[in-house]
Amino acid sequence: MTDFASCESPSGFTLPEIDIVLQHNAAVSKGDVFVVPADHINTVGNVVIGGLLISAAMKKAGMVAVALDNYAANKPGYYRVQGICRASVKSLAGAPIVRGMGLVLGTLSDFDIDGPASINAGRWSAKAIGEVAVTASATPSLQLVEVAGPCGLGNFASGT
Amino acid sequence: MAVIAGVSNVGDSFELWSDQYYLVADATFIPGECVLCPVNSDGSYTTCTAPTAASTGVVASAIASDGIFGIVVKGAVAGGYALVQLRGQVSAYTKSTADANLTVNGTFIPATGKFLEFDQGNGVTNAKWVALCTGQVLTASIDTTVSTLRTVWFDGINGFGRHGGSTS
Repeated sequence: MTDFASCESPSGFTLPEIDIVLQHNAAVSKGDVFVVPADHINTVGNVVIGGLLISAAMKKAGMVAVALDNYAANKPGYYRVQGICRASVKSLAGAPIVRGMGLVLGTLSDFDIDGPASINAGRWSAKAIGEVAVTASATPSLQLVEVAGPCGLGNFASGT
Repeated sequence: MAVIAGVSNVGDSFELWSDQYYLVADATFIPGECVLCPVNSDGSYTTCTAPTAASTGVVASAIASDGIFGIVVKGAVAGGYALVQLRGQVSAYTKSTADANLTVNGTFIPATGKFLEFDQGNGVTNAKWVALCTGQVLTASIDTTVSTLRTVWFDGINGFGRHGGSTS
């Protein structure tokens, strides 16, 4: 469920933030992107899954969370599930990152754009707000994103 | 999609939460038209415009974007404030260009012509499903060239998924 909070007058709206406390079994950097297990509430330590442990199935259906600060291994911290924040974003294929582009889980606790070359039918879990030119886009950098929340924005069609 | 408790004619039920906001229109919009709410560089949404193909998720020049869409409830002229509904049950202009029967729970996608296009008939790859059809309409009653106001379940924020298929 996504509740929008009205902007201050006279018009407009913003996406309200949803932050939860989670932890990871390795050191976390601000902006790292993780998958929140569906059973995280019942799991001791509320462990998030990141990096190479994110499976293809998780990329298609997982709920994501972005670390809001640096955290030591096994230490709880705040992670954003919905709303604007800075996250690690790249374009592995080297295409420019344009505002509004759908973002999927990348390969190293980051977001990647999901252009037509993608073949993993990834779930769009966030949208790019900050823009990055093509010359620098292949390198992950902290950029402003809008995390979509538990429901996501649908899955990109497979490109084969 | 946000829901709230409601009552039907047989007992407890649920209703869709209606989110409505005033947005600055960049052109004249009338009630029932579908608009795109572009995101600003700070993450806020303050304006509305006609949907673009890229914003619906259709791939163009290696760019595919997700937009937030709404249905105009109170119209406005360019520069004025339009009341736009982002979710909930709403009356919207719809069309079935491919002359497919409108079916209950059938999906609609935003069209650049500011109406909702019935997706089953067109099957636009990766297009965002923003509305569900609430009634059945057979092709004999469908005008494939003129859009008609119909009641839909609308979610322009998260949508109901995207049309599958292959983009390459």
